[in-house]
Amino acid sequence: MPIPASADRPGVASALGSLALSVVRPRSATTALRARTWLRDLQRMGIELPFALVHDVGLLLSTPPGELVLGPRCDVQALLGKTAGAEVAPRYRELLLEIAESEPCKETAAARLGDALVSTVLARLLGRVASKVPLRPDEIPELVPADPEALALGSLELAALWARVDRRVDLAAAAALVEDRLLLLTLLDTLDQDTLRLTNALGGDEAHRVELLSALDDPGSREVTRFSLELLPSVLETRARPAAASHAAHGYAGVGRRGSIDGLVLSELAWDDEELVRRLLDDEVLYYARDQARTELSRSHVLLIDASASMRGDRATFARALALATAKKLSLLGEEVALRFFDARLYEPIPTRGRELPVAALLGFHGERGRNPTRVFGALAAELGARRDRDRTHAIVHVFTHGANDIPRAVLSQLAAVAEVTAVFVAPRGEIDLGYLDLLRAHWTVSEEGIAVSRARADAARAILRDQGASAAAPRTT
Amino acid sequence: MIHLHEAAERIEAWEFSELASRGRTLAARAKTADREEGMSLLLAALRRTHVKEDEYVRAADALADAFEAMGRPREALSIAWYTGSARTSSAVLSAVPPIDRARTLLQAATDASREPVLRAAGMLADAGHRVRAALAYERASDWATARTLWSRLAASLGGSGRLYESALAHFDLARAARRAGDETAARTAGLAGMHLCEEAADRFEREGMRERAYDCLQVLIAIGHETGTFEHALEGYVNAVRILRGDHLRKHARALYDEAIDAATRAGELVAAATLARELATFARGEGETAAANQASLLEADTWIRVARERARGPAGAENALLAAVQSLADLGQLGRVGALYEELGRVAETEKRRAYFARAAARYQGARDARLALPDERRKKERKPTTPDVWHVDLLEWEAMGSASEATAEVLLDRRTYAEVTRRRALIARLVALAVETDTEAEPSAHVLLCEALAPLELYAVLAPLERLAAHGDASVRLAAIRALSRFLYKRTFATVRPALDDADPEVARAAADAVEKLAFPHAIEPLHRVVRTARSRDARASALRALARIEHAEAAELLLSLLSSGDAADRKVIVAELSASRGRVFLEVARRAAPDLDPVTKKHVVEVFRARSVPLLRVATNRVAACTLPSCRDAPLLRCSWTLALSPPPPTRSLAATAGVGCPWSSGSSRCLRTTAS
Repeated sequence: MPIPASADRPGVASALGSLALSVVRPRSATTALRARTWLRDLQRMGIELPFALVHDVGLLLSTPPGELVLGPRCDVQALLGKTAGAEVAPRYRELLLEIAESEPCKETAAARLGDALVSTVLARLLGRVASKVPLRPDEIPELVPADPEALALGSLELAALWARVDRRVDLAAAAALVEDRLLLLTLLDTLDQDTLRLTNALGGDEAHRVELLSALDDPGSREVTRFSLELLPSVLETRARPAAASHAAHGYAGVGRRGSIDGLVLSELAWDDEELVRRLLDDEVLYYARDQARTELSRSHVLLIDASASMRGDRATFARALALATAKKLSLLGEEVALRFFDARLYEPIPTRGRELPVAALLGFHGERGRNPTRVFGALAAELGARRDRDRTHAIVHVFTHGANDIPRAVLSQLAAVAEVTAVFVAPRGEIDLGYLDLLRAHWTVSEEGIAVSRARADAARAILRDQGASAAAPRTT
Repeated sequence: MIHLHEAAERIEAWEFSELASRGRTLAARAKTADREEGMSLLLAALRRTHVKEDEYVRAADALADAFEAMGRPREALSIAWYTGSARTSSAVLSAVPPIDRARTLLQAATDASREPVLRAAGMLADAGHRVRAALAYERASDWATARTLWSRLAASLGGSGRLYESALAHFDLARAARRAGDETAARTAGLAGMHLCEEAADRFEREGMRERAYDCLQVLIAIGHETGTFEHALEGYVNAVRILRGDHLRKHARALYDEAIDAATRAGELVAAATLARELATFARGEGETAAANQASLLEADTWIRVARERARGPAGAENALLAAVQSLADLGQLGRVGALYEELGRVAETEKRRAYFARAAARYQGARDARLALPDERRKKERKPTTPDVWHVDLLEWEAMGSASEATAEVLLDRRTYAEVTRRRALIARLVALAVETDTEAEPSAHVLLCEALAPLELYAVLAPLERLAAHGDASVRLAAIRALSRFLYKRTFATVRPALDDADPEVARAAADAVEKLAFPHAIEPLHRVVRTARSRDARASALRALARIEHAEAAELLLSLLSSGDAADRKVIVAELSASRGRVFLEVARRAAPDLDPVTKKHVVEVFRARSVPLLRVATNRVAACTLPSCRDAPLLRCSWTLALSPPPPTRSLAATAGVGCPWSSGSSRCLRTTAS
């Protein structure tokens, strides 16, 4: 296989030639191209590593073992000869094999993570190696050509490319990796598989890599994820309800005041012309309404999650997991859902795309810049009021907060005037005593006992989800 | 009338004993002119604040006698507050205003004596000093009356736009109502106080007055403790720490972290405690305090272990908590302990498969040892929290005093526990001047100038308010003196007064403000100095702020200067380069070395200029590499890239330098000393 022309550039030669060290090969050549994306993502995160390391570890984490061949690509020892640091090659191979055999690696690979997630996991695992062996600008590998064959060079070509540039950095990085063997394996064990699975399953989170990295690093997120996974099975049973609509599909389901001419109730034609025109203008004409795909008043759910410092600990775990499950449930019901965090300010909405949820953003969002309910709820009321005036959107605000969040009554009244407001209070200590409860359409309180025991906590959350689902299923057609 | 503030300069050369002796003799005479001369001499003597206490007290007593004889009881009483003499005769006390009488009574009252405190409280209330009166009633445990006074104060502040003071008054009302047994009123007032406090904190932060936001958060912490609502305390702690961190007040931030972790642990909020410990570790590591960081990480791990063993919700919860502990310990290289936790995970993990895996994985750590960790000295535990005043009292007292220098100095004078002798002597002088100036409705600007000069040496936060008031005086000479005095007050709050003065109509005041900015160079001033750089219209002011930044030995200041070298205009760059070239600080050099490979050409040129001016080598990437220098400290270098050379040295070596000890090796710079240890 010929060496690609672009390998004339030292950066490309550096990247391709480093594969002489590689001990992982995918059965499908195109799979290896993913390493290109990982390298680019890592470099964007400021983590600069030799290409071979990114390629090998990344493939182990992203590809099931059956799709990989483990073993050297060429006779590395011969290639290295008596070069200082040559002894690292066999140890590197052993380490990679040990990683491949580890349970967390197999689990991660089985999850078939997307590129964004693989890059994030690599950043977490290899970040320390990168900081130990900083690369000079001229040592940073360039992106290899987007050609599968370039990554499947034979041993002769690899040897030629290996010799083209100084390889001490590659060896130093491999040595650093080997030196941190125990740490690397421990980090792999502490990798939160649940978070990865959940993120992979519910949302690509291309845009939220930083949050995902922060979530993977934060032991608190692990508990949020675990709790979410406890709740989600019950949520996934949710189905969008059937409803009357005007689209020409399936059968008629009833009579409504909106529709097309082909669904007009024929008796309407019995009116004299003048009366018929009046009825048309006043939307009084009756049509047969069809099953499925409803024609609805625009309705929007805002899941408002308290991200102030007072939520730390069990409160944040419960609130975020429940918000995630609620978002999933509502999106399965076909509702428009946006997640919003607040502390002393109201953050921009994080929209859900279809059935994808911004899991990483939800897990990794870090607010904690003060608390000012007057400002936050006042701003939300103004925003929703303006939207209602503009497009008649009916808003439902679900607040997830703690039991001591005393929102001034006057401010909540403003919000309640433009939206239905429900709230979930996580109150580890005793009863809640808030002056605005009567303004809420519904509220739920989760006590310390409720979150102290795993089963009770999940039961409490499921009960809330059931109630929320029931209210969301309320009719809303015109 | 004697002009105390005109104490003669001519006597500057006299010894204290001579001044005091002549002053005593003259002041005892009946003739007014002699007495006034004697008093001037005694006052001049008292300005010498570094003499022995007994000599100082004798001179002060003589001056007090003279004041009393002249019918100036307030001054006489003030001196008595300093000396502790029993000059509390009914004649003097009956002649002074109620506030001074009440102060004297409160000063003399012991903890057990309720009656004089109540009497003092009554006097203060009658004289309209509501805050002082309420505090005195609180001291006497008369919570009902205190509550009434706080209630009136809260009502009067409502709608005044003074969110912060209103918040404090409501909080004080809530405290008093709770102690008076009215829980409902306490709750209502507490909530109102909390809302006001949160709003005030938010507003202060948005306006860049982070130190005032910090005060609000202290109140929030107190509300949390007072009401037993941990959420509020946590909110206060986390945000107060955020502000301290932003201001580089490392010691204070660490101490507050410690306090927050203790509070969370006491409240049974172990998960919150663990996250706080984790944050503390990250913060301390970022500040280069490895020992403190290690200790915090160990605490985090221990807390997660406690969560797993005491608070976990089922096996999965225990597994998660133990894995969090594993993560912290692994980061610290405590692999022996990690191995032990794996064994525990092998027993408690959620599924059989997981248990088997962890049990197998535990074998990896057999024989693994815990890395030796640098940990803080045991004495740090005693260091603990620098005391934070009860801002809900102190700040309301300051508000009530309306910037009066005589009031502010009286507080310092009477507080023997907090302030050193020298400080109290300075406060005494300032109070004597302040009484002369403040009681004279027609005092000349020159008198106000002298008051500024008397306040300046105090350098205390407590006397900022009077200087702020003087800085707003209609006469430029007074503003000038106030700004000059403020240049000695190294507090962020000082900027709130100095910054507007940069645009003063009087050019001399504006120049003095720029000079003051230059002197306000301390680590937590980085943010306000940067604000001056960004917003000042005058080039002098910008230059002063840049010079101040260049004097701050902190990495953030150095990084800011680097970015200004890159983005600032030519004049800014010139100022920065000049100041850094003349400086002896090391932090900028270290930061610039680290950043050197990524600097743009223009910035790099200026950085090289600074290094050249200071005759210090800037290390930069060379094209060749040293294979293996044989200096002992370089022996482990073959795999490390010993590839730097000196910017100021002759052209980099072009041959392999293996086996030649130090010769041509950039780390050793031709000498037998390896620079790598310091430069890397």
